[in-house]
Amino acid sequence: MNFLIIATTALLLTALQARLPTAWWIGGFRFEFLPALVAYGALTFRRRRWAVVLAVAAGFLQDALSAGPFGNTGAAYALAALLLVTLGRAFDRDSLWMQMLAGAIASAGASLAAIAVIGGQNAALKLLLLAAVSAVIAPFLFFVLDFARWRSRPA
Amino acid sequence: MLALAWALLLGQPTALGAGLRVFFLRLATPFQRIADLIPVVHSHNQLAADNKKLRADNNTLRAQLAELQHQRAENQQLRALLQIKQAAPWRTVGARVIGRDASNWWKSIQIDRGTDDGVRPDQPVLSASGLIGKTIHVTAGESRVLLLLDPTCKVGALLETTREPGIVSGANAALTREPRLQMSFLDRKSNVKVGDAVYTSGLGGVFPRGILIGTVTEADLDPQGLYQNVELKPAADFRRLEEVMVILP
Repeated sequence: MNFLIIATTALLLTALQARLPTAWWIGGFRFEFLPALVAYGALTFRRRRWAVVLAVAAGFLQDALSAGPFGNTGAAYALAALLLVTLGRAFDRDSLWMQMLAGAIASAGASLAAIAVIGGQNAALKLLLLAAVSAVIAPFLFFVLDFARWRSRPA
Repeated sequence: MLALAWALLLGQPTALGAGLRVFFLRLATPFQRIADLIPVVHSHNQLAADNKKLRADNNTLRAQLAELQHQRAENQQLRALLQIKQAAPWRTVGARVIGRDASNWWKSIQIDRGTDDGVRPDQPVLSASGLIGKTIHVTAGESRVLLLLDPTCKVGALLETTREPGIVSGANAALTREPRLQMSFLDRKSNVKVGDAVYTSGLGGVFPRGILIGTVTEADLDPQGLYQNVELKPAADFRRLEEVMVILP
């Protein structure tokens, strides 16, 4: 059941990410939801392996709907997930600040991987904005997925 | 897993990478189409304003069409006199935009035409106003179009007034402004003026000659450089891409 919830969420968030309108007035900015999902997996799953599998799958989904090189985001999310698993063992997973930090780290990881390919001109502000947006989205996703998984538990 | 991801990245186009891309694309595409079910609500004022603008555009275009038909007939007569070989007309297929790029760092769209409709990689894609980009990843029913706005999309171009050649690419726009194009490698002595139109040059083999790319908005961006770089406003409105045309091989 948990697998079904996470897989459906990943596919829905990917579709949302690709379908929501672009904010052209701020340099073509688009909302990204998958970093928050990567953060959720890394701080929630007991086994590191599953956190990395979710991160790579989320990255591959994003890369499949993007013009970027396939595997770039998958690798970045996987590295971010490994870092977050370690952080999650040292800090409180349910802390709002921890969840926000995790969202920001996953987003920044993907941004840095993309900058490594296309170059860093005018990129710093965009990276910070994306990280900030993911930091805000992450606690909402934690709340929704925790609630969905709690409801799906057998009585 | 990490090794696999990096191998796909560093190994460039591999069969495994292409296969995985298609697999994940097929997983995500049905969910993308769910978004089509959400109704889009436009205000009455917006619709009225759009209608008024479209009527005005229609009148202008009718006048331009009449003039162009006259010029076309004259052009054909002159070509016949000079015995110049007529360029082959383009075969095109219309396509609907079904998705944008899921990443913030690349600029692309997904269209609902693929190899089943004759689309191949590296085919030019146009809107009614001008060049949009080229196809990159093509599957049976869908294609991804790399937009001109993407920094990795390069197009051989010509300035209409001076016939000066250069390369047009997307500029990594700052967050504070709308995305623009950049034309590089122009001769430093070239007399570029704001408002000059830029067309495809036909060099490079992907884009046919004579497709409108945009107009110059700022000349000589880098006065110290070896070459002259200018900023362009794209002819196509990338904010409202709904229907596009793919030029078939």
